[in-house]
Amino acid sequence: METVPENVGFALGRVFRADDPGKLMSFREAIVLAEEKFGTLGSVGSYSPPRSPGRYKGAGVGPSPAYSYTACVVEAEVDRKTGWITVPKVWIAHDIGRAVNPVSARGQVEGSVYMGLGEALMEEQVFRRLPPKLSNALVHKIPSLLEYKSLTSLDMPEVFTELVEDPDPNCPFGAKEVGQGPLLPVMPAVANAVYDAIGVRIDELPITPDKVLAALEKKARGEAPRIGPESFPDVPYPEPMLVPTPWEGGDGNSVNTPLRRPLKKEALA
Amino acid sequence: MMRLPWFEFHSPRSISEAAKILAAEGPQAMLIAGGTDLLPNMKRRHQTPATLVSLRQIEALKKAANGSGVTLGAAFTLNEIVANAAVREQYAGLWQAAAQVATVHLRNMGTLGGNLCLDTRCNYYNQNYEWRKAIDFCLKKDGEICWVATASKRCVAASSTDTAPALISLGATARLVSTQGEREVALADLYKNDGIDYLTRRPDEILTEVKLPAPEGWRSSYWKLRRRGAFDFPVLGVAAAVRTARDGTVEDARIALGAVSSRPFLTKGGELLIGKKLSDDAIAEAGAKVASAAKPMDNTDLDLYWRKAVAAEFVGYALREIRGDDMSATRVRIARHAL
Repeated sequence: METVPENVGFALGRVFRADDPGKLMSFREAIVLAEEKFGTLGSVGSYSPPRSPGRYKGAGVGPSPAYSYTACVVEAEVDRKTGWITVPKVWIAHDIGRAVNPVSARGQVEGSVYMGLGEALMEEQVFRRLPPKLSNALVHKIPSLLEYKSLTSLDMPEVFTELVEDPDPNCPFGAKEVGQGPLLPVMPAVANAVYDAIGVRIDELPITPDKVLAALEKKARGEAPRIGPESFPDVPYPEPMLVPTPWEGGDGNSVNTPLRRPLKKEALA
Repeated sequence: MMRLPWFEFHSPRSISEAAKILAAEGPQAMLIAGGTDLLPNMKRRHQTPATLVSLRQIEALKKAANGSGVTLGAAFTLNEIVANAAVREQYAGLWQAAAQVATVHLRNMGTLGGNLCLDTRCNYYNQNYEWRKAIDFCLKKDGEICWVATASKRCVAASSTDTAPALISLGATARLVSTQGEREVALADLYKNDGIDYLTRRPDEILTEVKLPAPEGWRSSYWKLRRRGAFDFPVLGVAAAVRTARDGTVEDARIALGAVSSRPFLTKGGELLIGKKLSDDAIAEAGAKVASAAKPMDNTDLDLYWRKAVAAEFVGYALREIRGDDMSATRVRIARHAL
């Protein structure tokens, strides 16, 4: 086109001279010409997140300068006689900073709804202990992916996706993550929707109709309408490390140096 | 990788030719129609037939006849059954059952006869060879212990056919042909409550057709329970067929159950309805009777006590649909299809 790069315009799939738009070629033609001359067109870039101020063990994990947030609303229908749960609609809004590719970003958010509903309603790894006279071994009760159910497109509800764009100054192009963040609110939203519908709490996943029915029976007997673990597991956790938040006057460093090894049970008692 | 074992393959053109091959080869030969059940099972070494006799080239197995009732060739694919106008209009239970088997792709291959002869299923059986070997196999294949009921002398693998309970409720019969002759059995009598030897069909017999009695006055319905509505084997199947007089009094009724035993079977629930109208009370009474006959085992998906507990409710769905209630919203919740 006999001009300098600064004078080249791009629009509507065409490449043209800015001072003489009549001189043009298709974008595809321009790419072919450029690759003939320069070889494969590509560019390399990199981004390093700002250094975390923390200087404690574990501070290097998850070096993200910003975190995404997601809000999720689940509509659920629960049958009181069978405990059957149906999720007809899901609304989900994800704070992504900036969506570099909005179509892919929406796909990620909707994929998270899919993954979250599978976790909330279907996917389960169940073990079963063989009788002592056999081997007393734990075996998978549902030992194949055929029996490890996840949703199909037919099982998916209608999903309304919203990307909240508020570019984050610490991130490349202001973009935050849309990896699995939007997954997180889906399961609690399903559990809360079930509670809202029939007033029972299912404290473990997946939320299956037999658990719902068992919780409804507890409710009818006047017991606490909850199904799930009865107590917190007895784990000898080590002394916690304390890192105050900025508004607590923290600078990212821990204020104590706890023992690295878990305390022995006797020491706790 | 799971590969098919070697086998001889025959593709006869007529039923008599197929029967001759079966008679000559003996029990080491098996029939194959769509292969959607048999081939994966062969890859896992559940069945290792030396010879497969294909039914796909036999045109006589793909004939439908309308007379007093409908006769359906056993080699019709499930999607051909779904597309059959007479089935859709007159035998809703069978249509709903066929339409809920697996997925469109599998229904394009799988046949009516294949679904009726479907191998029984169990968590400890439908696994690859190495996995089964690791638990020292099970009673159904290569082992001595039933891991579901360790004291059981009998295999308790679950019958997982959808079309059989529907056809039992409709009063269908099946025709079996061998070189020794042919016989017709009531569909319920095709099955035995034994997870290993689950069919009364002899190895040399070919299931050629299913005959449905005239539909006059009958209405039918099939409801299938599974964790995932889109596709799965049933963990409970309820089929009901009811014949009513003009004033709505039930003259005859049959309710069959699937997936809660090693065979599909007729319950006594239908008899309770005879002489009554399909009131909510009568439906509840029949539902309780049917549910008491369900004997699910802990060998498939979902909690077995829950599966038994909801059987009555599913009988209610079927009977209310037959009564004329609009069950479409419930149907979409359970099956994810409008049906």
